[in-house]
This record gives sequence, structure tokens and C-alpha cells, in this order.
Amino acid sequence: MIPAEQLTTLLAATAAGDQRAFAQLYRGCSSHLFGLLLRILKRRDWAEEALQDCFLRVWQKSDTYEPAKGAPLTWLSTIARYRALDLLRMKRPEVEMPEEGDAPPMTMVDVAEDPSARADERQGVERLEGCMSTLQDEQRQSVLLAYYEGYTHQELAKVLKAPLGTVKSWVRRGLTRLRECLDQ
Amino acid sequence: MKYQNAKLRNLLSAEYVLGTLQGRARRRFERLLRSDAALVGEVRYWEARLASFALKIAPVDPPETVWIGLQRRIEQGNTVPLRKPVAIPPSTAKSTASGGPPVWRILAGLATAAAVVVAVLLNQPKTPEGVPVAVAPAPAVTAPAAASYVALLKMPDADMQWTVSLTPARGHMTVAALGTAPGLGDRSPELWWLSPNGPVAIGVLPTSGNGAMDLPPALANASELKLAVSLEPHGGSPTGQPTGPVVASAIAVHTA
Repeated sequence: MIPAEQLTTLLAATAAGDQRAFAQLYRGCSSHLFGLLLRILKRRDWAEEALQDCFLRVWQKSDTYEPAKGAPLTWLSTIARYRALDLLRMKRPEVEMPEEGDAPPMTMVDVAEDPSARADERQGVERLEGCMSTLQDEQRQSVLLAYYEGYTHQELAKVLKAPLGTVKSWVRRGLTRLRECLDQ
Repeated sequence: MKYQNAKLRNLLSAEYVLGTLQGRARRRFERLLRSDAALVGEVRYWEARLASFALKIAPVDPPETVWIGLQRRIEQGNTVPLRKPVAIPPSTAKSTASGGPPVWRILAGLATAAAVVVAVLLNQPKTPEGVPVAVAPAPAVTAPAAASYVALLKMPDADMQWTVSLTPARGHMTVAALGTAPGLGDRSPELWWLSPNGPVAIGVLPTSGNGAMDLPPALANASELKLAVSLEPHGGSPTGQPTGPVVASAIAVHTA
């Protein structure tokens, strides 16, 4: 992962039309965004399509990025994730059920150990994880599955084998609790 | 829907960012975002915080075709399938008018792209030294055609390391453990293949000496072998997915 300061510089140069900076930005972030897209979309071809869409948007919209809007990687991964969600809704009208016993998302990268992660990124991850741990199990699981799998309420209900209304309230209460904790 | 209620506004923003706000409600929310700066602020709040989830996912290198196709689309001024970004604040007024980038910029970029490819290739990890030493009966003797890979998985801040040699076509791997792993306690180091669809368990690694393990069949078709070691409860992850911290990771290098 390239340090956030460098990404900000590259984004600014991309906005100014610097192709070389754009190529470097792609090189520095594409594997990170591709990992996220693969996680959500599952299919390689869809993830490749979404990655391309995402960087096309970055090329077109890099002039709208301001550091005040958060870390560049936050901005980029948000663009990527929205694109993935759109693609999912278009292409996955019916949820493909995971195998029995599939666990919710894993933790594969220890951001705390990554020296290139910016201090505030590390703190952000730690804070979010700390607050997630204050949620009830069902609430936490619902939020994680929605984030990492892109599940809708209906899909969550199917996967978690619970009534739709129950699942909706898990998500709602989970997010409300999360907000309370994050605001502290 | 009463958009004036602060709690509700926050909750809708959270569900919008999470993605569970769906269909017509989502579209309605997006329309509202265009004229409601305070609501954009709420969305921004959640985007910034939930993005931390994304930082936890291990990167996966996309194929080079994505970059090449991207260049082509930029060149053709392809803007068709993208929806108007609501995630991006209302300062879009200035940017919507600006068309695609001039072609000369793209042409200049193609050369850079090629340079990037070369640089990436040059940066491939080197084969670790003395790799096949500890590995038991050399499988290459019987069928030299099967591709084999090696990876060195090293724990940071410890001298514990594993050298793994994989022959995916035969579904077989060997491992040599070297050094000592302090503070493992009752936990077992488990080896994972980071497949495009998520981690697949290979097995618990020995902490000393040599060992052999079977590989998951799907691994035979992998184009890239990314491996990771996580610390799991004694005997390995109870869920079939990594539950503990990742202590080492590497991309296996093709050796034969």
C-alpha cells in the first residue's frame, strides 16, 4: 500500500491530466481495490469489470477529490464498493447461497502491522473493530455480511435464516449502536 | 418517509453506505443527496468509517488486461455505464461539463503502462535461498512435467519461518519449519491459500521439522498462489475460515 500522502499527490496530478500519475495510482491501488471487489462480487470477470469502471471514474472525477473528504484510499474504496453494489443489483437478481457453514468475512490483513498504513487509518480500523465488538452477535454478523458480501435485507434473511423484519432490525440496531460507540 | 428526523436521516445514510438501502428508497435517497448538504455530511461520516472494513481485505493483483482495457475505454471516451456518483459531493457542477481527456494524454500513458508492467515483473519476489534443501523425496523424479512452486513464509519479529514447496497438479506440498515461534501458546499456525474467492484452508503447519500435506484440488487451477499463515485455535480454525491474526504471507514463486 502506498502511503496516503503519496496517493493524494498522485490524485492531484491525475486531476491535472498527468497520465503517468494515473498509471502509478493504478499500480498502487488496483490490487487493494481488486481484493475488495473480488470479496464482494466473487466472480473474477465482474470484479475486473468493476475495477475498470472504478478507475475510469477516478480518471474522470479525480478533480473532485479533496483531502478534506477523507483519506484517498477511503475515497477510492468507496467508489469501488458502490460500483460493486450496483453491479450486484444488476447481475445478481437472485442471491447465490453460500455453502453451509460459510463464515462471515475474515480478517486477512493486520493493518496495525502495516508500516505504510497511516496512523489515522490504523486508528480508524482499531476504532471500528472495537465498536463492532460491542454489537450483539446477530447485529455484527448482519453488518459484516452486508458490507463484505453486499447482501440485501432479503439476502441476509435467507442466509441467516431469520424473518425479514428481524434481520432489518438487526441491521438497524447494529448501525445505531455502532454510531453511538463511534461518536464517543 | 420523514427526512427531517435526525436519527432517521443518520440511519438511512448508514444503510445507504452499507448498501442495504435498496431499490426505490435508494434512488429517492440519492435524489435527496443532490440538494441536501447536511445529508451528504452524514453519508460522508459513514463512508469514512466503514471504509476501514475495506482496509482489512488482502490485496489481489488484477490481470494486466484490466489496465489495457481501461486505456482503451479512456481513449474512446467511454462514459456510458457509469451512474452519476452520489458518493461524490455536489461540487460536480464543474466536472460534468468537461469531456473525456485528450487522446494524446492516453498515448503518452501507454508507454508508461508498459513501463509499469516491466517494473512489476522485475519486482517479483526472488526465490528464497536454499529452498528445496529440507524437502523430502523429490517428487520431480517421477513426473518432471508437473509445475512446482516455493514460498517463504516468515513471521515478523521472530525467526520462525516456513519454506513450502507445492506441486498443485499432484495435490501435494512439503514444508520445512525453521527457527522458534515465541508466544504461540496454545495456538496453531494454519496455512491458507488466498484464492480469488477467499481463503481456503490447507492445513496446520508444524513448528519444527518437516512435514507433508495434501493440497485442495481447486488449487491445481490457480493462476497465482498467494499463501498466508494465521494463528488459529489449537488444531486449526474451527470455522473453515481464518479467525486469528495473519502472521505471514507470500506469493509462491514458480520454480519448474
